[in-house]
Amino acid sequence: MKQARVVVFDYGMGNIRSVSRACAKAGGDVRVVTDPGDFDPSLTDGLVLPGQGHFGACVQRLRTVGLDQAVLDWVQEDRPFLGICVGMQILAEWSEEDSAPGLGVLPGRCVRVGGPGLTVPHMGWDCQTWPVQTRLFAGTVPGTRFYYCHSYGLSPGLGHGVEETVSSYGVPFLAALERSNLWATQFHPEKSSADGLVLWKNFLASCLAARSSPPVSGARVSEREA
Amino acid sequence: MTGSSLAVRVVPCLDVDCGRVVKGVQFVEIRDAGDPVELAARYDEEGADELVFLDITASHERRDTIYDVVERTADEVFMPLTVGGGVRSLSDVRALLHCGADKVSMNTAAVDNPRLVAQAADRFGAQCIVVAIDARRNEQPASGRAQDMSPTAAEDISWTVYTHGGRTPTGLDVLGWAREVIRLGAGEILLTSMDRDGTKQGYDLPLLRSLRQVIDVPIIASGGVGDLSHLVEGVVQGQADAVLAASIFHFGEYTITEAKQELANAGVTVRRTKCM
Repeated sequence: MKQARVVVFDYGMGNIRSVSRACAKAGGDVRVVTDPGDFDPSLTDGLVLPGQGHFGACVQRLRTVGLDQAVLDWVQEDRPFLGICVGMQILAEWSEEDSAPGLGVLPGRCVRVGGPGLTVPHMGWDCQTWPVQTRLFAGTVPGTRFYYCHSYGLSPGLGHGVEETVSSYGVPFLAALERSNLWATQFHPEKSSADGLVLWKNFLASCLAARSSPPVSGARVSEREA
Repeated sequence: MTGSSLAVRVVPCLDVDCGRVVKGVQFVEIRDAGDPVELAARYDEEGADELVFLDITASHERRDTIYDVVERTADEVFMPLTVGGGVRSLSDVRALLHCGADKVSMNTAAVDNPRLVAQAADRFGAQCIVVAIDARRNEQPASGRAQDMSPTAAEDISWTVYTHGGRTPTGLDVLGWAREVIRLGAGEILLTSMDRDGTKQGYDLPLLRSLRQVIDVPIIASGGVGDLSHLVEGVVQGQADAVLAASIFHFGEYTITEAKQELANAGVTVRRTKCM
């Protein structure tokens, strides 16, 4: 059986071990990359960007280690991508948390969650509105809870072409999104037990699907193994 | 908490000594209750929402055993994992997170060096820094001694922070200390009643309520659970965001599933898993 080759970017701001192990458990062939020189897009089917901590610190570290351009190029080519938690947030233009700008891959901003009578961070297992037809959630049932651990979230309403799965904690925020092959979750699929592993399998399936029908723009396509 | 669909977390706690799970009764009598990874997997299947490992390994030479336990657990079990006990430095925090812990809990080290809380939260994010507070009631003035632990007792009670596994009084007031560590960046408080721990009489509800009134980060209630009604009390009366228990789960008195059912019957939002 074909195995999706997934690279996890380690820029010092995420739970790399848990992310890698969950992806591998779901059947992925996982490599952790810390140096842009070690990243070969032609030998990679999917890219995962975890992230924990402060928005500004994550963006800055990603830029410092030089992996930001690799993310931008990858997303530009619409190749399978999964951003998790702050790895989702920094795709946006900016966040209330920090003055540093995000990567700007997505329009919009991150806002602080919470409200009267709600403890922050938003920590634990929560629901989200049921997405109509998204590949990410295929095989899970309405009402499924995933594990969240965050204080900020991307505001909904990103516009055309973005499939939004919304959750609410004092304010509405994006639990997950899909824009073609660009996927991201505010919750942690790697910490969401059996239901989380279903999402990882869906991501791996999208990686394999993209491998067999690669985007036309990529001159690298011919170099990839069949 | 009201106004959200967030589930209250049911959190088994595993005391780990040299890589094996034990549970102290009033921190004195210790019984062996199995392999941490096996227990973690069982709790995951049952629908536990989070696991806490408390490392009680005394000998310095064996301290590294917790890293192996955390790694093996995180490699097998894909649920939130909090690790505490013996965390002394930023490099300890980093090492545990690197092994696969999602949150790291500090107690004595936070009291000895509050800057550590700030540094850890700044570096790794508030969401992964838990401060554990071991609280013991102060003797009441003449108006009434601290005998009455019922929920209806007057709430002008005060509690002192203890460290070193509950042996050392610090002179710090629990409520003031909690406010301070949150100001420094702690993202959650694990609140253990030393008076109740091991007694099976239920949480110290006035303690939980008092803390709830002064802080707005999540609180994990700990210490004293003897049956499932205590979990309900902790949430409904104590207003805890998460309820922690150890022995009732380890020794098979109750399953996580039963705990969730009891909470659900009381109208508490819980996460239902497929086996329920």
